[in-house]
Amino acid sequence: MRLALVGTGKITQQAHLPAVLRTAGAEVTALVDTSQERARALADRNGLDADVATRLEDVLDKVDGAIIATPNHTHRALTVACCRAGVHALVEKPLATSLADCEAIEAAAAEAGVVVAVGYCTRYLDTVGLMKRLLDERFFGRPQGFAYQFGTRGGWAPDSGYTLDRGATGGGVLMVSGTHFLDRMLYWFGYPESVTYEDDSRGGPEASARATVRYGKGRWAFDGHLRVSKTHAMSGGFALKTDQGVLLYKDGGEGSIVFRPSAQPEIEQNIVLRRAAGSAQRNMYDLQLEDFMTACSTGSAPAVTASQGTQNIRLIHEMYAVQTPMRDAFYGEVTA
Amino acid sequence: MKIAIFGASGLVGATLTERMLASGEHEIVPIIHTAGNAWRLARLGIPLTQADVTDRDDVLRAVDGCTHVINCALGSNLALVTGIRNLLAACATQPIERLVHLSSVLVYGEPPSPESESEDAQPIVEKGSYQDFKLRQDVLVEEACDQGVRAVNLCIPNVSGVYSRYILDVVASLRAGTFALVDDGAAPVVLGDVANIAHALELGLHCEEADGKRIFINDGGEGTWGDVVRALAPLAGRTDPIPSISRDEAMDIVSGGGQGGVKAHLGTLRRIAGLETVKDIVKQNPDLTREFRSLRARYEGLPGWAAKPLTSLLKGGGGGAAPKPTGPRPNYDARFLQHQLRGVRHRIDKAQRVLGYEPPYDLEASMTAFTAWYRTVQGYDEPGWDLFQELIS
Repeated sequence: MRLALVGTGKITQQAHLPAVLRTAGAEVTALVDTSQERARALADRNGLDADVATRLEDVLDKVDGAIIATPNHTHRALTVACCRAGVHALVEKPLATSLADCEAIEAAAAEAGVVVAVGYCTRYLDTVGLMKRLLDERFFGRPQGFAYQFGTRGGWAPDSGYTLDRGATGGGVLMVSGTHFLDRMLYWFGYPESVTYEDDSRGGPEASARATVRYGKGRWAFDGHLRVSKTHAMSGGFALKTDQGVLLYKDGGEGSIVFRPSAQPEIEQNIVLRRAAGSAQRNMYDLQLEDFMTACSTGSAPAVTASQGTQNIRLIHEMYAVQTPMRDAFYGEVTA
Repeated sequence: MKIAIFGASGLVGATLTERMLASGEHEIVPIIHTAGNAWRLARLGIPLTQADVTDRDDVLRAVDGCTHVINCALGSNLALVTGIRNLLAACATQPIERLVHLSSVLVYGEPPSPESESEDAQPIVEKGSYQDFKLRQDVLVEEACDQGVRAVNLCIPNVSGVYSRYILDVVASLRAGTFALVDDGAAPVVLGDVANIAHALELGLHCEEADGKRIFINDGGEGTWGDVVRALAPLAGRTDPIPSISRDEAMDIVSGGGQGGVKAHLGTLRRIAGLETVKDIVKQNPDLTREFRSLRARYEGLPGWAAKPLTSLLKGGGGGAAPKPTGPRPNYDARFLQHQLRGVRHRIDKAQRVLGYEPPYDLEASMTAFTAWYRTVQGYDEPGWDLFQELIS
């Protein structure tokens, strides 16, 4: 499959290009970046025999698919252009910055009959799929509530620094980091009934955010509590309380699952996927690319469809719409 | 005033920027190094200038039109020195009226020399260390002032208060059970609440004296490590008594129990030099004072085999090898034991005189603000707290 890498910044350099180079049947035939110098340097460093262009339109007739890894606000125009040229697209998360943009992408993909997949890479962790199965089967019991947290002091900084520009990202930490968990949450539990939300934005991208989502109705209703931050470190993880105990899913690596049955408080169970001898969790970007290529060649749906990407953005905007300010003054009248 | 704040995304820089923007008195130019750490400022929706302080042209562009510069920038040792050179060059060649710079009490050694109650004490640094590069910054600032630059140099201790990583580390250590008090927490604690430091930086923009010489800034008062731990233990979920060890035990742990090589022994020697009892003896004897100063000036060159018996001698052990503890050693955090052994309060009378500085927040107020912040970001007692606790622990 002939691929264009659209955007040659950090995520392309560190994740997408290595995945393409490792994947049989995938070939980089074009690099597109507003900085021709950066794209050319990437091609030279990796010995790529690829066209280098500053405009996507100049290479669309030479590729079968495109991996779009540019600032969020450019996703719509680039993806729609791919669709109209009959080129499949794997779009870095989030799909776009607004619901209207997501819907425009979905419509363009449907009209052209091309695949648009969304790069929520953690979906390709085996433990995430395992959790889905076990939750569906009520293996841990009936959910009564959950909590999720993820926080870093700063962190990932794309070359362009666009993540600090709310116009370019479409939001803040919720859009940049939290969206990954929202994807898993939507996959595991579906779309929530209602949300409450607070963050510390004072006009710019929020650095810290908290949300509560409600699932179900009546006696089976339960709440999920989320908090994400770019200003303070919080070990990433998910805790689920059920009528049979507490489940802990710690982020990092493959993700680890531990269940503490309430009837046996002195024990905890490590939930491990049985694997064939010698097999291990494969690189999630490799799996994502293979899934995308399979979808393109067979017409099957990718693991994360444009429609799912749209639901994610719908939920984020639902949260932003009910935003209340998070407390950020702790010294009384002296501080901002 | 139009004020450029270098290192605006750091703890002190961000606090200062937030304060100055809130006051609206001056035009502020927050300058950051990379986008990754600037979320706290970015959330305010303000323009941020990206500049590399080690790049002279970048610095000149960033300060264009500014009348004052505040330097809170951190970075590699080399960046510290190159950065201040570039800032001072900008101050010398551009219409910049004043530089306010942050120095560190670490230039007085670790532990700090007993004389460093006052800024006039002789700095003690290991060549090539962070302290060495901070001291080189100070020297460059003073030299620039001799050449006509007007600079105020604020010398700060570990920074506490809202967002403080240092205090977060204390909480983490308490939570992990690796924190031990020394002598039941009686040791003096010297912290600079970030809001106090920001206040002092603002005062530094206006004061008359601007000769680049160090001025101590901290929270003042007579707070102890026991006060700190009493305030923070509940945040770490500790209701049991925090373990306490003696100074000798603490020194032994900090020095690696005789297994830490030359550096550990030299560290022990320095800590011995900071003990109140040793200080008292030395102060009462002029000859000993002279010898002690001379020794301290030269002990960097002492090998471990020489430092060890000397350490024992100073402890009154007669020059033999220090006894080794028996049994398993608790895994106490040596960093905070070391800090409890500092034993010096850096006086803020010069800051009071030169800047008119009175710390708005004492230790208790500082800990109260930190606690409020910590409880907020951790979501204490809010819905879901029981499950979040599972993730924290």
